[in-house]
Amino acid sequence: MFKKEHIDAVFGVLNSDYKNHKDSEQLHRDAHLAIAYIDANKNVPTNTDPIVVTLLNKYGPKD
Amino acid sequence: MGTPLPKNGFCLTSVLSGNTMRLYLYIIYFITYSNKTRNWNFILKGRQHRVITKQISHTVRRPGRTLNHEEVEIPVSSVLTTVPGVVKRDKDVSFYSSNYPIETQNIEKAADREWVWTVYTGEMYEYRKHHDAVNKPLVEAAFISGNIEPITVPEQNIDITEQIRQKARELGFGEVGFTNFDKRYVYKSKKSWVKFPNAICLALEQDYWQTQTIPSMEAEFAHFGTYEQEGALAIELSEFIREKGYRAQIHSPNDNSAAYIPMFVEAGLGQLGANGQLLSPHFGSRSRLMIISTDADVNFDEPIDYGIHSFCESCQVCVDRCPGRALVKEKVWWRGVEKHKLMYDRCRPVMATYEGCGVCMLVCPIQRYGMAPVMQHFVDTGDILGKGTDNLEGYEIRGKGYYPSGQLPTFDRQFFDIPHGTKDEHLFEQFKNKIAEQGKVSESQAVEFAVNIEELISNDQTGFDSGV
Repeated sequence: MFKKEHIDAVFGVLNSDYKNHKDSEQLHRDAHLAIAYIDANKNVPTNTDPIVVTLLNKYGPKD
Repeated sequence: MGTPLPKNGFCLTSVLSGNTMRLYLYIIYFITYSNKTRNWNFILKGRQHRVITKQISHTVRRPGRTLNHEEVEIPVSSVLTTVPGVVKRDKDVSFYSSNYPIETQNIEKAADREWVWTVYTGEMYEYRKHHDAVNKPLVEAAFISGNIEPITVPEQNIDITEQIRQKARELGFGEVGFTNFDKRYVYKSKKSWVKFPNAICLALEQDYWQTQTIPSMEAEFAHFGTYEQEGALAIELSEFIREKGYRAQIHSPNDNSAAYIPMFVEAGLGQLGANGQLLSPHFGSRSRLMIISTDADVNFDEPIDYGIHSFCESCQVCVDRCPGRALVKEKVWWRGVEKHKLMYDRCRPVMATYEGCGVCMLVCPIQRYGMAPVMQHFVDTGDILGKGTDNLEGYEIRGKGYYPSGQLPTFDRQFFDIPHGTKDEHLFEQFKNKIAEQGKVSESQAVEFAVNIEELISNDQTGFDSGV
């Protein structure tokens, strides 16, 4: 389950490194939806931006 | 983690033998069937499992979030269906409208709308002043818009409905629908102001990522900024309608003429959620609503059953997460409509003190993820996407801390003690309190009271304050 520290880490990077990215808003939408699916033990949607997938793998819960 | 098991199950025990380890393994099955979700549930080795029986009642197809997005399909589970639009008794709606007409909060709640300025932070106070200055001419333009004559005569044999819809979508409105301008929902003070019979319902999406920071100044920039943008877009759309030969009256989102949500529901743009807000397909309640009424002979849209009435009964995240405990679990009949009735006095102090609050908007899964994935997840699993997770339910309250799922802030009793009623009611309440405290009032206090009342009467205040 994503806890505050995981969530803050993912969105912290999105807000700093990708703030001016052309699809910045879509990255936020993708990240929220992907986290919801992971928390529900489902696969991340295939159309999730790879940037988001990388961040979730890096900062998400490891268990 | 699953939902609590219903009581109508049955239990059996079986004993299996392990050949190699020669251990006896006891597995207890507890099998139940839920009439509510139409799923089989069972416990195996202490863990709850669920066998989903996927049943889709119908699929709603809606245009994309913007003109650049594809159409979406929203599967509505057979366990969520109720009625298209809203559960209501039309006769009762008419009765209350005739005998107890509703009034705008700008008038009916004027006392606390003035009070909010006293609890704003410095930054919020300055930003509201800025917003009001920007917004005032837009509201004034809307107020006189119904008096402006069309530029030409209507062209024959054109589909004016689709032309207006297309123009509104090009301007950026995410949801556009047409219905009868139902005068039963018009505010008492605006009844003579409303001119035209047909309503164009327009929802403008509020910025996604700013809204996810609720409650914050960032989210307030999105909230008030959307109003400013919407007011300007409405002028442009009304000019387009006049260029087509028809009249158009702008019903400002900041000087509302009526309760708008019932008309949005009738136009098929969403359904009323447990948070008291319109839940529309793409952004849930993360939008700002306004109406343009017109004499153009438009075709009305139909109300839709998105499954929201039952969905909110299962979800209840907004109810559970409301910092002020202002939302209620059970629906009541209110003025002819079955709905979750917000407790205003528990909402307003939190909203005023903590940057507009809006937690009920923040934690709505439909706001966060969109209706299509949420409803698909419900069909697949019988669960509410995001419910019980910190990512959906967690929020921070300035000066109080972070509240993950399952934890809520607390407030002193005095925190909820706010002024009530109209401005004159509040003045009279203060005057009575002075008499109660002092035993009598001085002549100067009586004169001051009279002057204040006279000022209210002479200004003939509509209550407009450029706010929410």
